[in-house]
Amino acid sequence: MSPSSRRRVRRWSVAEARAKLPEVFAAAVHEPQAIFRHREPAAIVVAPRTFVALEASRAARERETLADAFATLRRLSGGPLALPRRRNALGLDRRRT
Amino acid sequence: MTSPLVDTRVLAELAAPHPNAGVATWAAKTHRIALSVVTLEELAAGLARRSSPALAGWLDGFVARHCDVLDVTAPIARLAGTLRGQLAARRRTRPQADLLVVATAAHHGLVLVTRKVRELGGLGVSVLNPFS
Repeated sequence: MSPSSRRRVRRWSVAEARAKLPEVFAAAVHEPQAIFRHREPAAIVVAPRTFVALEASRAARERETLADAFATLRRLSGGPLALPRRRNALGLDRRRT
Repeated sequence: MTSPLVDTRVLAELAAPHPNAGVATWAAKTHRIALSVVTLEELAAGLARRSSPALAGWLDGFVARHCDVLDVTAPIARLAGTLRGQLAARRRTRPQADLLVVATAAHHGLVLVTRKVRELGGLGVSVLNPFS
């Protein structure tokens, strides 16, 4: 998050949020609103549209299979992946023979 | 944790231009896997040879979305060394990396998905070869 967008996210204490709930809802239409309890974020109020979008992207990520992930890699890399060779050497063994 | 532990060679096959059909079928129904840190190191090495930020970003996203990364802990190192020494005594030398991966699967009770079923079977882990 850039510093400018961070400035726009309003922080509320629980007491403030309780007293000004309609204001919190109105602001959440534009930006998520953080409600803090004892200096820790206790809840984030987001617009329904934002929540639905977040849920949709989470569901899409959960549906993605390994095959999908590697199809993306193949598009990015354009060639086989050269892996380091695993070596067989066990010095112990060689000295004994 | 019930995700299978997948060895590096299987993932490298998926990165190939035309993956083996059996591996592709297995990957199309798999969402979550366990990875040894050994495999993470090898994948990072393979991708870093291309020096592309997009590939490094792909690895980070892949690990975050699909992988439980398992450390080589002291008990795992101990088991891997014991297995490697026992095999060497029978004149079956295996790479250190192979046995670290086997020991990780054994320690966590996971199925090991690998192409090396002949070499890595019979060491106390269930192995699955997805290659057709």
